[in-house]
Amino acid sequence: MSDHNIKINKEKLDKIATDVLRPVGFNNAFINWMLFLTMALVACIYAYVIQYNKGLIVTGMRDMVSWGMYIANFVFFVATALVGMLISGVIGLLGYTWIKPITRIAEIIAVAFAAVAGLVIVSDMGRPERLLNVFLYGRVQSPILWDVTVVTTYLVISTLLYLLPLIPDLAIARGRMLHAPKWQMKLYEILSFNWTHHPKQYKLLFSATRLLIILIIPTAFAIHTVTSWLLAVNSRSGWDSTIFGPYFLTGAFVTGMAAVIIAVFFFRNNYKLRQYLDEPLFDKMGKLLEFVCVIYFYFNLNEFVVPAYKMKEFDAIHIHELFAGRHAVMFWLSQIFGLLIPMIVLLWKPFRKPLPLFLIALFVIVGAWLKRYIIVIPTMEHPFLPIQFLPGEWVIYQPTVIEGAVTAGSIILGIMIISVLAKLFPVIPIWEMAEEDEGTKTKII
Amino acid sequence: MNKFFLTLIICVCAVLKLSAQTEWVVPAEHQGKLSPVQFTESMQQSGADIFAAQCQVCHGMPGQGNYNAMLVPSPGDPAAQKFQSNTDGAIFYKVSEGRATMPSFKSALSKADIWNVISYVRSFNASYVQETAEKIETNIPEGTLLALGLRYDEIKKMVEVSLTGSLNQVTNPVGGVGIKLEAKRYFGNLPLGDIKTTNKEGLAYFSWDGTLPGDSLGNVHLIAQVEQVEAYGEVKAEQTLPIGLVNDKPALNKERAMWNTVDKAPLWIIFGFTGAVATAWFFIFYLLFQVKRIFVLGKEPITEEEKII
Amino acid sequence: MSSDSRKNELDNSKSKNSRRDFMRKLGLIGAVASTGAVVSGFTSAAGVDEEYIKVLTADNKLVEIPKSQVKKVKLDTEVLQSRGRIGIAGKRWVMVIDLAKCRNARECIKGCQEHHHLHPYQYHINTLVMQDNPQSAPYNMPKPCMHCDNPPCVSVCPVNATFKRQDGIVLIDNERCIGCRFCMAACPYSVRIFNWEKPFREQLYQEEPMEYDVEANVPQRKGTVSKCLFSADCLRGGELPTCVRSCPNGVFYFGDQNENAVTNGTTRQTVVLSELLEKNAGYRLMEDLGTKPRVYYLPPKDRVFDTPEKPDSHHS
Repeated sequence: MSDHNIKINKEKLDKIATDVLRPVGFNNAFINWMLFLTMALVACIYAYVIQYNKGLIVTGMRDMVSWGMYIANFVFFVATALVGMLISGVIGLLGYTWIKPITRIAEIIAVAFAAVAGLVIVSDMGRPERLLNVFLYGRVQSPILWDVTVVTTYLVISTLLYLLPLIPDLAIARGRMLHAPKWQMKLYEILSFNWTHHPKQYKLLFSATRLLIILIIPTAFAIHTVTSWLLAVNSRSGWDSTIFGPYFLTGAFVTGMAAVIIAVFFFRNNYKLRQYLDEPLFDKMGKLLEFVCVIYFYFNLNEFVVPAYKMKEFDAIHIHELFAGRHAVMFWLSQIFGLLIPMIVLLWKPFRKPLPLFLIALFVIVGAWLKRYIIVIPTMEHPFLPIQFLPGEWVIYQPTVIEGAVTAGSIILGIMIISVLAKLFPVIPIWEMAEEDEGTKTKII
Repeated sequence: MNKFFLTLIICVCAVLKLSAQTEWVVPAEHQGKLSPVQFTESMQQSGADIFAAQCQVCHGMPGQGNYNAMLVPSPGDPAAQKFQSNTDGAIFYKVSEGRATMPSFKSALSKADIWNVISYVRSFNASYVQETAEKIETNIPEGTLLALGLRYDEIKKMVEVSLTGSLNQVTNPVGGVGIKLEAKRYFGNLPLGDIKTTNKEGLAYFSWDGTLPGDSLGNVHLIAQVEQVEAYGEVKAEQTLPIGLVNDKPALNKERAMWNTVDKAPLWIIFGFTGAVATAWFFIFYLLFQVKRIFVLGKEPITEEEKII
Repeated sequence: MSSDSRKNELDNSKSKNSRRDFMRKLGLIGAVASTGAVVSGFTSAAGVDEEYIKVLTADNKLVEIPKSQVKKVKLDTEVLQSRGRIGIAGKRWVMVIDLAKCRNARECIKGCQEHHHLHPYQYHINTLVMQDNPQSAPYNMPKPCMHCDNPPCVSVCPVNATFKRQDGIVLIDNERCIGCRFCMAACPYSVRIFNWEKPFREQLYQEEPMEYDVEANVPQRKGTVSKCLFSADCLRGGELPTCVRSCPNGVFYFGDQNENAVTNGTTRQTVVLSELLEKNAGYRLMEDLGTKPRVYYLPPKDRVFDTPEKPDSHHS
């Protein structure tokens, strides 16, 4: 690869640059959208301030169910963040070039969700002001320390993987975006790192990107495996599982893929990028979603059939709660509408067209969120020893409005980060799309 | 549902009461036991304190009838006639020994304490007239100063307790007196074997198998006491002897373990974690260095032909 | 500094001890060693006035210091923390709970909540009504912290806020705790509790601020975990844990496994631990989890109390 020379088609470049750079920039619609999000976020932050002052008593969590929606939401965010690795890492390394137009969107999602995941976990802490203790007194034996380390590392790697391929684009944009505000040009100038389109620079960029997409794979595996271990290292029924790592990882691919499809569909329509985010691309994304759904389904089968077959005392209670008990509705909703039906219908091409796929992805992502809830809460509701002499409302977990608001705040924050990044920088890699030779991506690798 | 169970339980209790509440028979030799001293107000006072701490939970306030009726056999109100009809000796015996739901208090309370409690309980009985015990006759002349000695007999493998009495500068062994031997433990004294009576030489022997754990040097703190305090007064000997098992058990947090502090974490986890983090961040810094090279390259002059774009 | 002059007077050591070390050494004025003097009888002999007095230091060393030099040192949080983390050398605390004697009087709970400033709904120790299978009779089971020798809760703590000491006690330092509640999720016995709101005795803390004693976890603090501590502060003074002392029915035995002896909190009878467990088929909870609890149970056989109502279990 060292003697690889990139060839860019100038005409193609001009067209792509014009199309892709057109939606860039903070227009009025965007500012209104951000104002709306900010107002909603302020309300959510207010909810958090109440929680901070009064303590976690304002949540539905109590001594028995001591982890609730926050942890479920955290798992969801970490899961979604994993898509950056799936697209750029796994699929990219395998040499598929169709991912080119969506790599940056996937990285935006990865960066946004990984960053917010870190905040979500802080909102669950009883003493958030002591966060620094984790670094001062950290115990290497605690999965929380691993999680903090690996989330940080993943966030850094994802950010680099977002920023590095952006460098040539920013250099391209600097010459073309004549009406952009000064600060934006200044930012582009800083982030384009003296990019002169020098062949040696391209060479360096290729090797750096290649290293990143190799590095992101073990890091992403680690981030979600460790997150699953937050639950799996406990001996409670429902968590005490040896396949929790891969079970979570495959689940994360499903969630992340759905998030990417939703984002791509949005940019296709709102940014008028139909030409690049075209139907064949959606077909490919649909197939990939189908593929990860099948794997996830397989892990679900293992996770539920084996304990349901043996019916060990506490496993039996857990299985009963999920299949026919209080959590049955949510469980079957997430399994049937969030996994089973998408998995089946995606086999047919018409369902892999943009709009149907977008709708399916919505179901999948809502199902995925519910699934995380189902993984965390029912297990906490039936500990090994009976719950007695506690106030009745302490026994069963019911999320409160404040908890809902803080959780909504995290989602709003995630959307805000994605919105800003998608308006600040081009969402499709211009130079990669303008390459003469379609096989370049393969050659990098 | 709960109400149903409650009724059921009360019925069961009632039936059980009939069958279980057999009379608590106090052996005849304990019936007539009497306090060696006349009850005083201060005795009543300290008896009230002990009662509040130890007895009230089940017996309630005397005279209030608020004892725990659910218990079988019923604890009863100490001020009630049934309770007061016990002799002082009978109450003393019942408090000391306990039965079923009534715990034994002979270790928790000293004999004086028990008499204090009895004096308090009797204060609720207007018609009670106290009798005090007559001086117990012993075979030792009055004015004798009793002393206990304690040593370990290597040959006999026994702990030897000697009782002597001195009167007018003459010291003689005292025989026929019951001795109990105890080992000091952190929260109380552990009785070692039964009560032994001193022989003619004033000696009592307690067999010793050496299995009693001592401190880190094998020292055990032994206490010998004359059993019949009423007759002989408190006579006690304490001695620390190096005859116990050496306690060489390590601290419970000595080993490397997952739950221990960082410096005692399993080595594989220390190296695994730091190794993985160091590797990842080595590459990250390497990448940042690459970015710097891109930046430096940008300062090199470049012709339009050379440019890719 | 006044402590320096005191140190010189004591002539304890020539090395430059920090104030903190010095305080720790003097620590709480421990049990004065018994003189071993005999005598009594019909006439009692008076004890001799001692010039020196034996003092048990925080790290359990017996030292002699002049009696006139003994001053009660006010323990500050730092001293309390360091001795709390060290624990008592040479001890392995163990609790035995006789299920046959428990009638769920809940006196242990009352005493405990008082001692550790807990809300009425917070339990360091709770008595559960258990039923092992539909055929066996229900029984009452007091459930303190098991102080496991392989404590899953301590393993997962990210900040070393909860820790296991050399004497086996698992403590929680609420000045360190970040409130992540991982330990609560990890505990299979559900013994850990959280301060979801402001502590029960918040007003007391405001009126008269007190030093934090990690051995009693008092004052409690909002947003931190709390748990049974075997009343580690009491043990230091040779006193039984609060629950053990509060029980009116002789359910609890407590002692040092190294001494192979446990003392009943109600009757104060001291018995041989190994014999008690052997004779009564003592067992530990959830042995299969490998947590190695330091709390033993004696099965509810030959009960002295009525069988409780069938438990209202949230299991099914």
